[in-house]
Amino acid sequence: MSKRHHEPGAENSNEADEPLIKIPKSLSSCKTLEALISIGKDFPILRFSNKIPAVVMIHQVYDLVPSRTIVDREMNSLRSNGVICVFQLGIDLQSRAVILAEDMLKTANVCYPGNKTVAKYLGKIIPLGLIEIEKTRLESIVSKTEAKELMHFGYLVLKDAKTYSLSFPNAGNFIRAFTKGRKTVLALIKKGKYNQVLERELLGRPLEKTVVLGTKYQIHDVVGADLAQSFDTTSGRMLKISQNGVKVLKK
Amino acid sequence: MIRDLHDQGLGLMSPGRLRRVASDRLAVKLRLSRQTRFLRNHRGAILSLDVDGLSGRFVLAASSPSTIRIHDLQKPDSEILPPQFHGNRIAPTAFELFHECVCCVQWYPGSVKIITSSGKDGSLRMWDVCKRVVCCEVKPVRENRLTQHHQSPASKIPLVAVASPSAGIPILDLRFGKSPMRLKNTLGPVTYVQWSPTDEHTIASAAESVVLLWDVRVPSKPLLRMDMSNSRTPATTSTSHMGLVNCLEFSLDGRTLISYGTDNAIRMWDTQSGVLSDVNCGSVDNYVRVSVRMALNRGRRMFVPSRHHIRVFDLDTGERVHNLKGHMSDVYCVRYNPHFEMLHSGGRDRNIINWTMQNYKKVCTKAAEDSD
Repeated sequence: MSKRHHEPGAENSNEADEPLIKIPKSLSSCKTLEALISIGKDFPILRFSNKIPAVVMIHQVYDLVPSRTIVDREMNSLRSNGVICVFQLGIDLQSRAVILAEDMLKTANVCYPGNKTVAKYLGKIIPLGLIEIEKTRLESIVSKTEAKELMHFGYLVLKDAKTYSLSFPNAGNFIRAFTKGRKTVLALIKKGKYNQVLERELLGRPLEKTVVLGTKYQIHDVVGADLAQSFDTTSGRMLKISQNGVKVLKK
Repeated sequence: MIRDLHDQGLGLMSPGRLRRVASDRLAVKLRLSRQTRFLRNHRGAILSLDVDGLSGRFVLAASSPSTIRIHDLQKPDSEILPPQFHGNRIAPTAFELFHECVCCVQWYPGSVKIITSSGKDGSLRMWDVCKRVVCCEVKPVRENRLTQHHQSPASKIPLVAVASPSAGIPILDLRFGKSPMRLKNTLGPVTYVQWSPTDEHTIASAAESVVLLWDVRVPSKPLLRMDMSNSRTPATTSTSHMGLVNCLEFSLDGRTLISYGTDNAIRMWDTQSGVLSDVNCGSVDNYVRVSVRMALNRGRRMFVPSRHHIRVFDLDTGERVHNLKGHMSDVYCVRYNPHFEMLHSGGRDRNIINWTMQNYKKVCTKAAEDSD
C-alpha cells in the first residue's frame, strides 16, 4: 500500500502547491485507510468517464472496521495529515464523503487540466481541512472572479448567504446515483421474506442499471448508516431492514 | 479473573481497579434474575426507579398514575396488600404511597428513611417511609407541572433541582421548603436536571435539544453550553442534539456528562471544557418523548434503554458489548445496584426486571430430605 502512494508522490513532487500525499509512518497500518481503499476499488470510475473520483462515505467504513470510535479518530488524523479530503454533500445532515487527495488531483487533471484556479483551490483551500468556508475568509485567499470560476466548475457550492461549502465537480451526478442506488437496495431487502435477504443473493442479481455505483458499495452504505442490520448465518451474511431504512423508503 | 486476583495479590493492580474490571466483566454476563423477582403487581407503567445508596436493599418505584412502592430485595415475592377504599380516596397500603401523577422518585442520599417525589400536580413531597407520612410538601412553580427532580448527592445541604416546562430551574432547600435561587436563561422548557456526583456546585440541565452546565453559585447564566459541532464560538442556534434530550448522566468521577436524545445519539461531553468527545456509539433507537434514565456501573459500562432492549455500551470505545432483552414494551428507567452488582429496569409493560449474574438453582436431593 505504501508503494502505491509513494509513486505518484514522486512524480508530482515538483509542483509547489501540492499537499502532502506521502502517508506518515504512524498511519501506514491504518485500518480505516485500508478500508477506504478497498471500497474505492469497487467505485465505477469509468462509468463517469473518470470525471468523478472514487468517493467513499464515512459510514461505509463502519461496516468494515468494527469500532466506530477508531474510525472517527483515524479519519481525523488522516484529514489533518492531508491524505484525505472530507466533504458534506447534503445527502444527510450527518453523512460525509471522503476522497483520497491523490484522486482529487487526478480528476482535476482530467476535468480541468492546467487550470491555475483549480490548482490554487487544491493547494490552499483543501489543506485547511474545512467542510465549509465563510465568504470573507475565502476572499482573503482567492479573488472574486476566481471564486465565481470555482463555483462554475463545481468546487464551491453556495450553502447560505455567507458560507460556501466545499465540493468536487459533478457531485450532483454522484448524489443522484447514490440515492437511487440506496433506495433500490433497501426496497429489495424489504421485499424479501421477513424483510431480510442474504447478501450473496443480492450480489448475484444484475442491478447495474439502477444501482450504478455497484451493489457491494451500496450494501456497505446501507449497513453502515444503520438503515439495515447485518447478522451472520450459516449461509453467509443476512441483511435485514431497520426502522430507519423503512423511513428512508417512505420519503 | 483469577489472573486479576493474582495481580492484586502481588500489588500490580489496585483493589479499586480490580473491582472496576470485575464489574465490567459482570456487565456482559447479566441475565434475568431467577431469585429476586418482584411480582407483577404494578397497575401502571413504571416511570421511575431508584435504589437506596446505603444498603442497596430497597428499590423505590414510581408507577403511573399515582403509586410509589418500595420493594425489598430480601423479600422479593412478598405480596402487596390490595388497596382499600376510604370514601372516595384509595388509602395507601403497606409499602405503598400515593402521590397524584407522580413522575420521579429518589431516595434521600445516604438514608433509607426518607424519599422525595415530584409529580405533574406541581408538588415536590418529602416522605417519611417508616411512618408513611409526608414531612414536607412544596409547590416550587406556580401553575406548572414538574417533570423531573434530582437531589444533589454530593452536597451537605439537601438541595433539590426541579425541572418544569416554565423557564428557569428552581433550586429548593428541603430544610426550609423554599427555593433560595432559580437558574435563569435555561433556553426553553427544562426536561431533565442532574447534579454532579462529585461536585456540590455543578448541575446540568437539558431543555429541548440544548444541554447546559451550571455553577449553582452563578444562577444568572450557564457555565457551558454543549455544542454538537464543537465550534469555539457557538452560534445562538447551536444545539447539543438534533432532537429532544431525554436523559443526562454524569460519569462517576464527574468529568464526563453523557446525554441521550431522540436523534438516536449518545453524546459524551467533557465537563471542564464542554468539548464533545469523539466516542461514537452508533445509532441507538430512541423515540420515547418522556425522560428516561440510564445507568452506569462502577467501571466503564453504560446501560441505555432503547425501545424494549437495554443496550450495554463501553464508555471508552462506544462499542455495544451486550443487549438485555426481557421487557415486552418500552423501557423507561434503568438503575444499577452496585451493592449486589445487579441491574433493575422498569418500563411500560408494568414490570420491574432484575438482572444479575448470580443465578443459583435450588438443588434438592432425596438424601438430604431423608436425613431431615
